[in-house]
Amino acid sequence: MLVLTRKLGEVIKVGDKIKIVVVSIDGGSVKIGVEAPEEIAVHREEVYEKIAAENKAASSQLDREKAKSVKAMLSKGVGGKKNG
Amino acid sequence: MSYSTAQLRTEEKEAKVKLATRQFGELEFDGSIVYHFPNGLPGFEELHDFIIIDDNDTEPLRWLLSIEEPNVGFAILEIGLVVPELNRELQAEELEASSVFCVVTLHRDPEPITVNLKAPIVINRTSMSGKQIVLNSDKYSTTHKIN
Repeated sequence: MLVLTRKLGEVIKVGDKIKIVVVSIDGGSVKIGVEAPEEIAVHREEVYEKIAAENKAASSQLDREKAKSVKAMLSKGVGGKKNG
Repeated sequence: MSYSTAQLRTEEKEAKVKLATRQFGELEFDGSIVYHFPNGLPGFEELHDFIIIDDNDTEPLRWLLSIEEPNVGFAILEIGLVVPELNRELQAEELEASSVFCVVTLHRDPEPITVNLKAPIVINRTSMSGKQIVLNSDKYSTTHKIN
């Protein structure tokens, strides 16, 4: 991995279309700004991995029988509770 | 016997795609209903082309099915049916969105059905494209219970 030292407000350029800026530094946290073309997706790694895992779980359970119960759940008008 | 160019063009345009699927049997559909996901979906980055299946038995739940890997599919719901205010927010932010869906996880019984509100699927019917976006807000969970 390429490691570069940057000060507050300084920029790293990746290719000619991506800019990474150190926006603020506070204790153990660094706020980073990323400027990239729209077609390049930028994600927090652990959030992306969580979405990928949830997509895998969803695609592995295409249960049409269970799916039939969704309509009744929604018509009850219950918005739902948060789980985790 | 020769065909005119016009006839050939018409035939091309109406070309049907045939797909054998485990869940829905043999499907035949027009190539123009395929949505292109340039980045795939997280976990399925290599899959780019999907169709949306309306299913009378399960409505309002629909199916987003990969045509490259027909055993990969997702149950989806219009996000407005679950959280109307999130739908309004996203329609305002994602100007090119025609519809916003959430992925439904039909967990094995007795686990409850959950929806992923953290990563909605945005569909654009004009460009026939789609993407799964990730919301910054911690307000929305990947496993939101609907019952």
